[in-house]
Amino acid sequence: MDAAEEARLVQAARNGDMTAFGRLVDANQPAVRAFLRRFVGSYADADDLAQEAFARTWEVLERFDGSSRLRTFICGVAFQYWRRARRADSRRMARDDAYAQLEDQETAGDARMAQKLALRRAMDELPDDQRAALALCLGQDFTHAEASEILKLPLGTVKSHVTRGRARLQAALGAPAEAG
Amino acid sequence: MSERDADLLMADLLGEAPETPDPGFRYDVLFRASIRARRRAAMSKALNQIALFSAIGLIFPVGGALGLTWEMAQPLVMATGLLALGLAAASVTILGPRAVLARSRAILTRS
Repeated sequence: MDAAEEARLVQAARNGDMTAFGRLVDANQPAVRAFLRRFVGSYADADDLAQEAFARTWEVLERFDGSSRLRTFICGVAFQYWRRARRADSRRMARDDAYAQLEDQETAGDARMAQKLALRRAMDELPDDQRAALALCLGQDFTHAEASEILKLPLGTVKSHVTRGRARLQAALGAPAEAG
Repeated sequence: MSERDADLLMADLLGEAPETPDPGFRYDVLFRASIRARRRAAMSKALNQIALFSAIGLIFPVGGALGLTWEMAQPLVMATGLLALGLAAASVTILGPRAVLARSRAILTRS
């Protein structure tokens, strides 16, 4: 979907057109859900958070000024939502559940599962901002500038988070970390 | 393997992008959005009612504090009551479920 079409649909959605908003959901859900799945770890929790973020976006669409893509705005909403809603205990329980699921699958002898588990553990040890920056930029879904806007961090900090986080993940996979 | 390929591999291992279109996801989002809208409308209505009845309830104590006796206030209270009744009757006529003026309103809304 190009920017002009997105702007037209946003305007229609602001006027209460649910069909237009549905099309915006369809267009933006892959990037938003992929980010949250990588960030949160549990697919069910990530999709639940994504749905809340989209529903909240419907309420605050007036605040979207159109200076960036809508998916950037939605990811910002989702990240702020997660920050407000997080509870250390529930996060730990969700993480343990995710580990248990992965470990069960790993015992089946799947090497890919072992890699997933190692990456997930390494990812969960990272600070929140660093983990979020990696989840946004690793899959090439968002640029560093977009990640900076979503996380409300300086561009240099985001680049540094991505570089350091990438090195930690590569180390977890047993690959030599690249300098930079 | 290039850095880009390595990044994409790690991203894929951490969480795959969902397949699209996903009508189930869209349905859930629209359902949640409509629930939030209904909840917000109900909250707004409740706050308006609380404010209205609080204001009505405050009239007499405030009037009493200002030295307004019942004899002095009676014409004002009666006039206010008549106006309120007129407002209620007009609202039911124009906006009620079986509104007398529903047809006229529909024509005006269409044009």
